[in-house]
Amino acid sequence: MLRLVAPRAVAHGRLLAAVLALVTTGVTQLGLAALLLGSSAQQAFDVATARATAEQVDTTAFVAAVPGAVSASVVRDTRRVLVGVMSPLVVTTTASASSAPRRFPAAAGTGPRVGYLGATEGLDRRARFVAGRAPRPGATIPETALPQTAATALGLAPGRTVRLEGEIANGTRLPPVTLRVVGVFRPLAGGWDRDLLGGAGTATDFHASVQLNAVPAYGPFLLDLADLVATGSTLDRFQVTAHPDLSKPSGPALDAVLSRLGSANALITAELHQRVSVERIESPLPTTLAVARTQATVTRAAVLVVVLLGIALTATALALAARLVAALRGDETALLASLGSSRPQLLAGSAAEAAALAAVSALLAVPLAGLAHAALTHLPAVRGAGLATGPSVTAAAVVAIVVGAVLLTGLLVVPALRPEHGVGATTRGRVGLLVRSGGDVLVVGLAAVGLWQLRVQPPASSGVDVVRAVAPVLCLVAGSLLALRLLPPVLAVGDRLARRSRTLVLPLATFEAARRPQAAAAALLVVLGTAAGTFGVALLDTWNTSQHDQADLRAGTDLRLALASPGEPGQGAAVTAATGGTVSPATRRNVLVGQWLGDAGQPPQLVAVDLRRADAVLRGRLPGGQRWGDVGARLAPTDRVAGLPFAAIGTSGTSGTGGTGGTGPALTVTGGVTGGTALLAAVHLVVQEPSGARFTLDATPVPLDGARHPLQLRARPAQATEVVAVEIQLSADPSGVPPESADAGGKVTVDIGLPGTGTSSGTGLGTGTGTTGAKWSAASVGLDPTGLGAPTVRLEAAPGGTLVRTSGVVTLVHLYEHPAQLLATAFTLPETIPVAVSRRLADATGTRVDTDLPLTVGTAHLVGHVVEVLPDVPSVPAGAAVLADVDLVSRALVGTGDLTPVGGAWWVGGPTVPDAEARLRALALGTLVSRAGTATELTAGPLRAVFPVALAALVPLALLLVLAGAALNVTADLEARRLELAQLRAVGLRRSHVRRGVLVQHATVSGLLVLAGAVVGWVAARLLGPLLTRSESGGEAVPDVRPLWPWATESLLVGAFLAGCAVVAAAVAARRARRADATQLRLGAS
Amino acid sequence: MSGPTVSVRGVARSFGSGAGAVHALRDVSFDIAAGTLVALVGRSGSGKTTLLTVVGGLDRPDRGTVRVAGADVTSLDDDGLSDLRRGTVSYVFQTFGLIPVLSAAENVGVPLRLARTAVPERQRRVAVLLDLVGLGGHADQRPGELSGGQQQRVAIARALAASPRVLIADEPTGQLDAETGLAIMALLRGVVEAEGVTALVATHDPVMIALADRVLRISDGVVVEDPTVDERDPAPGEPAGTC
Repeated sequence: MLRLVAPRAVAHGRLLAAVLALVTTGVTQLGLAALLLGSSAQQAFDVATARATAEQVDTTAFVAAVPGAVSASVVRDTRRVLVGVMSPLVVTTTASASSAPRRFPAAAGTGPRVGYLGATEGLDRRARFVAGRAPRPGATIPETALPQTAATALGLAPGRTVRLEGEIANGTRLPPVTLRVVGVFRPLAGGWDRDLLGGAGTATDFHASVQLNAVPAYGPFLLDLADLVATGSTLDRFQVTAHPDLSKPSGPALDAVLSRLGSANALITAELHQRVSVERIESPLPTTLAVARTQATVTRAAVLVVVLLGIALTATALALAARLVAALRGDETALLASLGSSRPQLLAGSAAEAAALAAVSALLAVPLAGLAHAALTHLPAVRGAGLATGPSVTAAAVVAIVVGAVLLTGLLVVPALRPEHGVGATTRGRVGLLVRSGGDVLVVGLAAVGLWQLRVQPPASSGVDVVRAVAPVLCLVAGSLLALRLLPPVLAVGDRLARRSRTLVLPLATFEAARRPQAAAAALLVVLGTAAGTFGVALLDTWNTSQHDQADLRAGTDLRLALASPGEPGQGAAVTAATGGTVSPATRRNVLVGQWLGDAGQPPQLVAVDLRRADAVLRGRLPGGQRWGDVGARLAPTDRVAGLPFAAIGTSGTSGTGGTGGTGPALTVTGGVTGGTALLAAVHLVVQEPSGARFTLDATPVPLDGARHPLQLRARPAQATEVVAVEIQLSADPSGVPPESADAGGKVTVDIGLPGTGTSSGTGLGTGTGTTGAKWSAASVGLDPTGLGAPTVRLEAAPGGTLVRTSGVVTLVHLYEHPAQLLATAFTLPETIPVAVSRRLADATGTRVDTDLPLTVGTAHLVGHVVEVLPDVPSVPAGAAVLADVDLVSRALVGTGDLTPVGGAWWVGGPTVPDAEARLRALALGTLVSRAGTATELTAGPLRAVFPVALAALVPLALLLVLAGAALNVTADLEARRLELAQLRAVGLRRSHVRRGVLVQHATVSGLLVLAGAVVGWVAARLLGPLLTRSESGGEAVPDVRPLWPWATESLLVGAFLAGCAVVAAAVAARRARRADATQLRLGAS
Repeated sequence: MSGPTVSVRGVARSFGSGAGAVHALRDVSFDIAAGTLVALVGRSGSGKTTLLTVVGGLDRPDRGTVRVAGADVTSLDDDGLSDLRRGTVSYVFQTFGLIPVLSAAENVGVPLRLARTAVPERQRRVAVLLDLVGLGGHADQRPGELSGGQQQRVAIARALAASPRVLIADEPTGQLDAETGLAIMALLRGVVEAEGVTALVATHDPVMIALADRVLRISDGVVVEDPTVDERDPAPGEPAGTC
C-alpha cells in the first residue's frame, strides 16, 4: 500500500497541489496568529508602555508638615525610599516643596501680606522665564525666582532683594530671610496643582492661618532645594516624583515594581512617620499597566475571533477537498479492497500521504508566516503604531504550525475512516443524516449559549477570553448551517417551476441543482465564507465608527484645553489665533448634586460651555438624529450681556494711577459713609472679553473718606474688554473707631470711574460709548446679605468713560465681623439656570425633566432647572454630569458673590489652522485632549492597531477560499458527470448548451448560498457587533454601539463573491464542455 | 427507390500518431437502406464504437465521407452535428445514458424539450412512448429505481422521442441478462418495423444478429465481410450484393 502512495500522488498532482495550498494557507494562518498574539502583542504592550505619558506613570511620594529641623533628612530619605520602590526600573526624580507662609515686613499703605518659599527641581520644564534665570544654590544671599504675577504685584525684578519675616503658623520663631531675585517666570502646564496658590502667583484672600483673616498672598519664592532646606523653613508640602524609563521595560521588572507599589505606603510610613505627620506614595502606574493589559486582552480576543474564523474557513475548504479526493479515489479504493487491502492498510496509505502533506506544508508555512507577519506589521496603520518588525518566527509559532499541519491534514484521513468513503456525495445513509442533523443541533445550541455568555459575561481582564473568541465563530457556523437548511425548499420551488417549462437547458440546470444532493462541505464553505467576509466588513465599520464615537464623547469637542493655572485675559485671543476655530471658555469641575457626592472616585461633573455655539463646539453622538444646537437652544441664554467698555493697558487716559484732573475719570474710587465709621472698600471688576470669558480684576482696598483714590488693579487686560459686574466689598477699617450703637447704620456711596470708549466689539458685548441706557442692577450678596440694604446702582456718562455710582445702607457694627458685598451687574441675576443632566446622574438621583436640581459649585449654591436628560454629557462618558451654559453659570455664581472665574478650560470646535493641535500645545497653557488624537489612539494605537488590519485581511482570505472551494466543487461535480455530459451531447445538446447549463446550475446554487451567507453575515453583525466592540478598558462602549452595514462596500463584496463563483463555474464548464465528446463515450462504454 | 439512408465512403479514423497509432477504421465503405435493422458485429476493439460515433456525428473521420438522411455529416460543424443528433439521429448507449436526477418521463422528454415542444404535447408524446416500451406505470421513477432492462427501455423511448430517421445503438443489451436482452432486441425490431426507423446496432448478441436484416462484420477497422449476404434474401429495394 505504501508503495502506491508516491505514484498515486503524482497521478493526482494537481488536486494534491490544491490540497497542499489549502493546508499551507491554514497552517500559515496559525503561525501568523501565534506571532500576532504572541510577539506582536508583547511588542504592542511594550510600545504602549513606552508611549505612556508622565501623568500615566510618574510615581510621587507626598509628605506634609516637615519641621525645618528634619527637612534635610526627610528630603533625602523620601527620595531614597521612592527610588527603591521603583527599582529595578531606571528613574529620574524631581522634587518640589512649599514652605509655611511668612509675613512680609509691615509697610505703609499696605495691609498684612504673606509670602512663602518653595523649590522646584526641573524648573525649566515647568516655567518659562520672562526675565533672568533660575536660582542657583550656595549664594551668600539665597537666590530666588518668582511668578510674573507676584513680581508685578510686588514691584520686584531681577536684582532686587526681598525680605520675608518668620513663619506665621506652627509657633516657630524662625529668623527672617532675605532673598535676591534672579528670575521672573510664567508657570507652564502641569506641576503647579500642589502649589499653595496653584501657580497663580498671587491671591487676594488667602487664609494663612485659621486664626487670621484672609490676606493677600504672593509666591512661591523659589529657591534651590538645598537653599530652602538651609533656611530651616517648615515644609508644608514636599513631594518627590519618580519618572520611570519605560522605553525598554521587561515583564519581570514591571511585576517587581507593581509588587512594591502595593506596599509602598507601608514602606514610607515606616521610614518617615516619626518625623512627619503625613506621608504617602501615589502612582498611576498600576492602573496604567492594568488598563494596558486589559486593552491587550480585548484586542487579543478580537484578533482571535478573526483567526478562528479564518481557520474555520480553511478547515471547511480542506474538508471539501478531502471528500473530493476520496471520491476521486473511490474506484481505486474499491479495487484495492477487492484485491485484499485491509482498512488499516488503506488508512496507512492515507495517513502517509497526509503526513507528507503536513511536513511539506509546515516547511512552507514557517517562512511564509514570518513573511506574512512582517508584511502585516509594515502596513501603514500598524507601522504607525510602532509595531513594524522584520520577518521572524518564534518557537510558539513553529509549534502552532506543526500542530496545525497535523490536525488539518488529519481531515484528509477522515473520509478513509468511513466505510462508504469511495462513494460519491450522491448517497448518504440514514445514520449519516441523523449524525449531521444532530451535529447541527449541537452547534446551534453551543452558539446560543455562546451568544448568551457574550451578553452577560464581562470580558476577561487578562489571559485569553475563550468565550469572546469562540462564541462569534460558533454563531457564524451555526447561522450558516441553518441557512443551508433553507436551501432545499428554495430550490424545490425552482424545480416546480422548471417542470412547467418547455425548454431544456435552464430547467435541466434547475433540476440538477434541486435534486442532486449538494456537497455539504462546499455549500458550507460558500455560506460561511460569505458570512465571514460580510461580517468582517460590517464589524470593521461598526468598530471604527464606535471608536470615533467614543473619542468624540471622551473629548467632548475638537480640542479641549484644561488650563494648568487660572486663565488670564487675552488667552482666548491666543487660542483663537492658534487654532482658527470656534473658541469657547469652559469649565469641567466637580459639583455636588443635592447631597449626592457621586460614586467612589467619580464625583458628578459640571460641564459649562458657550451653548449658543453648541453645534460648533460640542461633539458626541446624540440619539434620534438630534443636534447639539437643539440642546444648546434649550440651555443657552436668550440675551447677551452688554457691559461697559473697559480700555486696555496703555490706552490714552487709562494710566491707572487716578486722574487728578487730567483726561477725565481714569480708574478711580470715590466714596463715603455716614455715621463716622471708617470703612474700606475693595473693588472687584468682572470683565468680559470678546471670547466670552470673564475674569475678575481685584484692586487694593481704599478708604471711603470722600477723596478720590486711584483704583489700583493687580492686573490689567492687554485688550479692550467690558465690565459686566462690579463688586464692592465693604469692611470696617481696623484702625477706625467702632460705633457706639450696635444698630448704628450708615449710608455708603461708592463711585467708580471706568475709562473706556468705543462701540461694541460685534460679539454682542457693550452697547456703546458711556452708556447710561444699559440696564444694571444692584444687590447685596455674600455670606450675610442682610448686612447691606437698599443697594442701588446708577451709570453716568463721563468724558472718556463711565461713572458707576452705587450706594447702600450698612449696619456698621456688622462690618467688623463680616464684610458686606454690594454687587452691581449688567445682567439680571438668574434664580435658576437651565441644565441638562446625564442619564447616569438622573438614574442615581431620581432627577426628572422639569424639576429643580440643587448644585453646589465650590462653596456657591446654585439651582439648576432640568430641561433634558442626555445619554451622556460631552467629555464625561458614562458619568454623572450636568451640562449648562457657561455664561449663565457665571451669572449665577457672580450672583452668589463668588467672583471666581468659571473658566479653567478652553474648548475649540472646528479648528481651521493647519497643525492647530501642535500650535495650541506650543502655547503650554495646560493639558490638551484632541478628538482626532483620541480617535487615532483608539483605532490605531499600539494596543489596537492589529485588530482592524486582521479584520480587513479576513475578507480577501474568505473570498479566496470560497472561490477555491467553488472551483474544487464544480470540477468534482463535472468530473462525476463527465459521461452524462457526453451523453447529453449525444442527445443533441450543443457545447454552448452544456456550458450554459452547468453555469446556471452552479451559479444559481452558489448565488443562493452567497446571498444566504450575506444574510447570516448581516444578522451576525447586528447581534455580535455591539458585543465585540468594547471600550479600551473592555467595558461597554459609551456611547452605545450602533451596528452598521455599509451597503456600498457590502454590495461590492457580495457582487465579488457572486461574480467570482460565476467566473469559476464558467471557466470549469467551458473546459468540461470541450471534453464532452466521443472520447468520454468511448471510455464510458468500454 | 430513394437512396440509402446511411452512406459511408472511404472512412478512416486513427488515434495517436507514429508507430503507436491505432487505426480504428480503415477505408470503410457501406450503405444502409431505410427501414432496415443492421447489426454491426466484431470483437472488442475492432472499431465498432468508433464507426458508430462517426456515423452519428459524435466523432469526425480522418478521411472519407458520411451521409445520413441526405446530409453530409463530415462537413457539418459542431452545432450542425448537434442539430443532426437532435432531429435525425438518436443514440442508445450500453450504459443507458439516462440522467440520474430526472424521472423516466423527464428523461424521455429531453429531446422534446430540445425541440421546444409545447408542454401538453410533450406530456402526451412521453406517455405514448412509455406505453410503447411497456413502462407506462413507471413514469415518475428515477433511473436508480429501475432495473437495467427498464432503464434501457426508457433510453429507447427517449431515442424515439425526437422521431429520428436513424437509430444508433451501441451494445444495447451488453449489461443485460439474456432474457431482458431478448426483450430489448425484440423492441428494437418492433420499432424498426413500426416506425420505419433505420437502426444500426453494434452487438455481440447472436439473437440480435438473427433478428437483423443485415449484418456488417468489422475487424481491425475494416468491414471485411458480410456473411449473411449470401445466406439471406436482400431486403426490399436493396440490390443484391450491397453491404
